[in-house]
Formats: sequence, structure tokens, C-alpha cells
Amino acid sequence: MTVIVRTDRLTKSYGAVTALAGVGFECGAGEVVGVLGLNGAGKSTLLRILAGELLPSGGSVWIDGVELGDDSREMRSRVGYLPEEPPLYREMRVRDYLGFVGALNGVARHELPDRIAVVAGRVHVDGQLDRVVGELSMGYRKRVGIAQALLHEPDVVLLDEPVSSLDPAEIVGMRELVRSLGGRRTVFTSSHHLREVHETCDSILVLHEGELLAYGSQEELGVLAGRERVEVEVRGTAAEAAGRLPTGVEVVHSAELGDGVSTLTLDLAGAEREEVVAALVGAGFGIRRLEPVRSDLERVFLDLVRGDGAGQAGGENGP
Amino acid sequence: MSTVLLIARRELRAAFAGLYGWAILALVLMLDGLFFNAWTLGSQRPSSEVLSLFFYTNFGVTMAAAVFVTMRSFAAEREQRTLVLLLTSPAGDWQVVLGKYLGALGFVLYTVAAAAYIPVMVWLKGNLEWGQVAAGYLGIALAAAVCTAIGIFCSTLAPNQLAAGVAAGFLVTLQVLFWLLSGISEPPLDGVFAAMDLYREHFEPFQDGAVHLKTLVYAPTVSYLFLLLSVRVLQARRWR
Repeated sequence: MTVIVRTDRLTKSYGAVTALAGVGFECGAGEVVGVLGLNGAGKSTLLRILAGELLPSGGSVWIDGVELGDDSREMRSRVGYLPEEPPLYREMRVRDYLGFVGALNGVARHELPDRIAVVAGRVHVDGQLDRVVGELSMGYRKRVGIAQALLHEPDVVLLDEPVSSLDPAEIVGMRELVRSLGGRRTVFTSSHHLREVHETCDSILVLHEGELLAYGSQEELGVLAGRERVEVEVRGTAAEAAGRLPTGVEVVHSAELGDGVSTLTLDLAGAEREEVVAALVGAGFGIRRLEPVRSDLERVFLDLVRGDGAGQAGGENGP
Repeated sequence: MSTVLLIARRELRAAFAGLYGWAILALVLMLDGLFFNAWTLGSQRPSSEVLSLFFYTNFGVTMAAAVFVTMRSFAAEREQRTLVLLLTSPAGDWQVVLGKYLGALGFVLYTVAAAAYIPVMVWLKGNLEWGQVAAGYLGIALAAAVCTAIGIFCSTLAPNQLAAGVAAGFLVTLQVLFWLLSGISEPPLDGVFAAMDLYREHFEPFQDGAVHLKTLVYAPTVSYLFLLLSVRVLQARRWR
């Protein structure tokens, strides 16, 4: 994995209030990372530091190997940032606004028209380029905000609550847009909406009261929260199979599929998959299939912030 | 430098994009015209005195224009949450401050230029000394540079436009009242205060056609000082 964003013991205090407390993680190129947390968890502060708007009280940040503080301007040139409220000059036309932001971020004058056309097409504001920003709907304003963050082709794109204030149709469009940004760029998107994170992100970074509770894929977070689930398809009845499971493993759901085959969704509650397989095979059940089930993000998130599980998932993600 | 000019150009265009800039321009022209009408039209004053009175009026009006223009600068961007665009761009803090400063100063000088019809009238109907005109406008430009820098500093510091305007108004007024402090102070403070007075010490000779070297040093120095403070405020905000 090519590490593109790295933080080490990142701390930020506003007077007596600690917004971030020793946050450390590494993130690979092309990942879409969801930053999840309750109000005041430190999500926006983290993004503002990554964007170079704020400097940390302690710890370090690297973007593509460039450390914040050594050459913040160089670091800022590698980042595109959309705050929760898009930073738009309402009196300007969209084309002029994008031209200004592009030039501000070092895009050569002769490249600007093409760059604006490409980015505007990508975020679907190409029909709005000659409109005054102040006349646009909130959905279009967010899109123009994303366009300004993409114009200089940054390595990292930071989106703070990109779906806030949008109507349901706009949310669907924004979700597709955020998803499409991944792959070529690393995207951080913060949200209160678990569904957004669930549907758009490769990995999730959970902050709570300034601390990093967990970082990893949704499955990995499920394990952290002690909620790994698997679906097992066995030859035999579900009731008999349920009676042979290791102690503590709960049957969340079961169904008879016919022809003597049944399926069980199990909450492992800390048990290993191998234990389940060994118990069922030992009892004479043929196992046709066993695969992990994506945990319900809402439940995992609440378990994490309530303290049921904490730490970092996936060794390669931890610094 | 291109980044500074880019920001300055946007500032200047933004000033004329809404009513605000036009309202300031109208106010400047109205005040200049009214005072000119009241003090000089129909009087038998010599041209040099008419011109001196015009520069005297224009000095005060320009100071007010600088306060009104700069109170929006950073404070309005902060209120409208657009300042983040500049702070997260690769532009350095000095470039941002200089761009804002030159944009605001450009607007203030534009208002000065708009009232140039008055010296033209004196030239058409009287006996104009071009040296006095040049010195007067140089003095106005230097005073505008100082007042704009003060206004920019207050705008970086204040939480909103009103507070920025009040603070800038206070500091700019203080700049022209240092002679009062000088009068009630003991040496060597009286000399220090007198040297800092923007009007009596540094502008009055210019309106009568005399260019003083000390003012050519004073105005850039004070402007630089307030711009440096503005940069420091921006930097401090990143640490807050």
C-alpha cells in the first residue's frame, strides 16, 4: 500500500478543550475514507488540519511525504478541501469563481478553460457555468465546492459533511460523485449519515471525543466491536445445527433452504470461525459455505463509541 | 507576485460587484463635492488655497473610505466562510494579506481619482500649480496606504465587520489626533507623538505643495508594520 496520508500522535486543543488527542493513522492512495463521529468528535478539526487551515498543537501530519509545518504551502497544494459550508463568492459567476480558485492553486492560465470544463462536467455543473453562484441551489453549490477542490488535481480530497443540507435526490447524486472520486485520489469524507459512509467508503475512521477509536474496513470494525458475523450454509436442519454451536455463539437468523440444506447467520461474539467449523463438522454437519456478513454500521458505531471495543483494525493501517 | 495580483484583482472586482462599493464611491463624491461647493465656489480665494482646501477635505474623506472598504476585507470573508479558500490554498499568508491590501488600496485610490474633476475645474478656471497637485495627490496616496493597512489589520483581528470598522475608525482617528497627545505630553514623548501624527506632521505640508522625505519613510514603515501584524494575526489563527 502506498501511504498518502499519515498522522502521528496528532493533537489539537482549543484552549482547555481537546479536539484531537493523539490521533495516528495511515491511509493508502485511492482510498475513500469515511470519518465518523458524534458532534464534537473532532471530525472537522481533523479535516481542517489535513487541509492546512489549522496547525496541530502536537504531533505530525504528512501528505504524500510532505510534512505540515516544514512546507505547509507545498502540502496545501496537494490537497483539495470542501468545508461543510462551501467557500463560494456569491457575486461571481461559476466560471469566474472556478478560474479564480484554479489560478490561486497554481493552474496555468492557458490550462484553466479546459480544466474547468472537465471538472464541471465531472461534477455535473457544466450547465451552470455562466450562472451567478448566489443563485444556485444548495446541491449545485456543494457541487461547485467539490469542483473547486478538484481543479488543481490534488492527491487528497477532503469533504466535510458533503451531503448536509441536500435533498434526497441530491444526496444520491453526491454519493455517486464521492464514490467516483476514489481510485485516483484519496478521499476523506466526514458525515453524520452512517448510510453515506456505509455506501461510499472503503474504510472508516471512528473518532470519539477527539480520540481515534477505530480505523479499518467495515468488517474489521465489526470485529473490533466484538460483533463479527458469519453466514453458514449447512446440510442439516437449522435447529440441530444451532444446538451444536460453541458456547456464546448466537444465531441471529436461520432459514431452511430445502433439500435438507439450511442457512444460519451467527454472531460469533468473540469466537473464532474455526471453532464454529470444527463444532459443526464434529457434529456431522456438512458445511457448504461460510462467509462473513457485513455488520450493521450503526450498531458497530454505537458499540464502539459506548466503549465496547476500541483500537485499530488491520495492522497495516496502524502507524 | 501573480498570486498577490490575482487576489487584489478579485478584491477590486468584488467591491464593484455589489452596492457597497458604489455606495462608498457615491458618498466620497458627494462629500468632496459638497465641501468644495461650501468652501470654495463663489469665494475669491486664490487657486492654491482652493486646492489646499480640496486636499484637506479629500484627506478626511479618503480616510473614511479606507475604513469602510477594509472593514469588509477579512472580516466579511470570515463571516461568509470564504476565508478558508485563501488559507488552504498554496498562497502564503503574506501573499493573502498583500493581495487584500492592494485590492482595498486600489479601490480607495479609485475613489480619489474619481474626485479629480475638482482639480480639473481649478485648472480650467484658475491658476493651477502642477507641483501642488502632484504633492497633494502623493500625500493622499501615502495617507491612504497607512489607513488601508490599519483597516486591513483591524479586519484580520475583528470577529465581524462592524467591530473591524469601529476598531479601524478608532485607530485612524488616533493617527490624526496624536498632536493633541503631543501637546499634553512631556519630552521626549511629545516629540514621538508629534512625529506619529498623520495629518499635521505628514499630510499638511503635502496639501500645500511640499514633499517631505520623512513622510516618504513614515508611510511605508507604518503600512508595513500593520501588514506585518495582519500576517501575524493570520498565522496565530492557524494555531488557535
